[in-house]
Amino acid sequence: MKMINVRNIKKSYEHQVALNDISFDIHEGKIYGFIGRNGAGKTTMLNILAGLIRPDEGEISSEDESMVSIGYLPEEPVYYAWMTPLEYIFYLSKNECEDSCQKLLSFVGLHDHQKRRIGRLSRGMKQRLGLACALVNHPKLILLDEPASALDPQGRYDLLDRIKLLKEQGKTVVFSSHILHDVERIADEIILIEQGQLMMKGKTSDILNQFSNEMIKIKYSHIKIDEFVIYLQQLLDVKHLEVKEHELYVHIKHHDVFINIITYLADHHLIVDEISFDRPTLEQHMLEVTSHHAKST
Amino acid sequence: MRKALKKEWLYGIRNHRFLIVGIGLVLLGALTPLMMAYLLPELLGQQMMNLTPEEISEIFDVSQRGIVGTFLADLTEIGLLLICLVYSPLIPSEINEKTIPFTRVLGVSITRMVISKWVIFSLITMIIGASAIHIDYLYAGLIDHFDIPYTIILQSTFAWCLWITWIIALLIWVGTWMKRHVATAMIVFFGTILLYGLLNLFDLSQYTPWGLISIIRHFDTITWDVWMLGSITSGLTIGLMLVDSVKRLHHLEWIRSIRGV
Repeated sequence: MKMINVRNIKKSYEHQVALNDISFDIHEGKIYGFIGRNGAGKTTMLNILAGLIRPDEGEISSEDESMVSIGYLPEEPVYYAWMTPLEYIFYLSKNECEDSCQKLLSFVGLHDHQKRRIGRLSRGMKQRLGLACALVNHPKLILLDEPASALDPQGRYDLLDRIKLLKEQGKTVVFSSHILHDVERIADEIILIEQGQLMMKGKTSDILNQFSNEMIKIKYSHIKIDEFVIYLQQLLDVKHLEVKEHELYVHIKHHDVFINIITYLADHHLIVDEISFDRPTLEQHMLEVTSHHAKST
Repeated sequence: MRKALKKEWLYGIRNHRFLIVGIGLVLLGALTPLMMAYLLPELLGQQMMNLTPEEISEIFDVSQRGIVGTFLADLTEIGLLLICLVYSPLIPSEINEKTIPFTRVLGVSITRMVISKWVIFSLITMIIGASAIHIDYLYAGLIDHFDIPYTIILQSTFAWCLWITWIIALLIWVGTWMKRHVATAMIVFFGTILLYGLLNLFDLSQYTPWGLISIIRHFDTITWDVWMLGSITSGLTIGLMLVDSVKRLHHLEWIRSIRGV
């Protein structure tokens, strides 16, 4: 079910375009990953969605605005440093009792620090508190701006699990991250923004398949590969080859060709040191798209 | 609303705002009789040897009326400056640290926040000011004798309380405009004095919160119509300032910086 329509959003800061004609939809119960380089416009878009800044043009609408409650974790969360996490969460909560606030702090891993002054918490702990703040009033839409930026690996892993758990509870999560492996792992849909422009949007799996730049890497040392190279060049599913010293990179259109290669090597008794199948990551896709965009502009 | 009130109470306590204002005003109340009755005549006697004790006592009015009158004047000048400086970050700090927008996104009402600031800071300052006036009244009475009827002191306390609620509302309102706490403090302090002077020129000040202060400093009886008009003017201007503060905070565009686009 469609939750929010974002249409033709434009935003400039002192003659510098931050967002240019951005349109997308947010559907209920999905996880959206906002990706893009530093300064691409991700934070501006999240701030507009949160209602913190107004777009110069365009509109954000919802079929039932009363139903869209928002929880927001900014990139650098701000707090009253003189309050304790428990007092702060209790202050933000609309109908929660102190017990449920404590449970929420336990959920984000801050149970042992609930009575320490916020000013004395580490950056990672403040990030966790930010997540608790975003969740305290049971919002339907949760906006997280770089939620894992200050977390240790275990904390990051826990955070991703919690985001998945939120999705299971029917919440919609929109998060931005530079850690594209995380986005690839949990996002249902990806929105790539580059220099304020929407470069790519769609299902994560579709985007990964769209760039079928799969590659087979072969390492060898004691064999002659001339005939093997000629064989590969004849295969329809091979896009191109890169031959380096003791290494061969076979860029393929379809991964079925992997079987052909293995069969050929076995039939011709060619013993290689290593053969691996590389599927390009979201990071490689993003680099490809953004560098292409940079060249064209 | 209770949560918002508690938050403001904690802010005042943990950042020592109430402590500083409390110590400042109570010390002012306790030291005025001491200074006027003992320290200043002693100092003047040492500096100007040709003055006789009788001449010195003529310079300083050490009657309860004289001491309390001086204290009430100080309370509206030194006391006002102290209150302006200590309470000026009320709104600017929340704007600059961006705590208002982020708590607003999470569902905290700006209206409640502004009202709770006004209620808590007015209430605590009223209690502190009233205590200081009573300390001064008692101490001055013990030094000389009780020559001011207590009803006049109650009236002064009430007028001061009304005035301070106006000052807190002004601090909140100017804070939403200036967004810098020192500028807010200075504008409220000098603006209040300037406004008082201007209204005095047109003989209008008696119907304003400052006019009430002027009357109580001279221990005149405030007539019913002056009370009424003073209270109505205070209430209306406080209401207007608070409504406009809320409106301004709602319409501020919070993140103007290009950093972290």
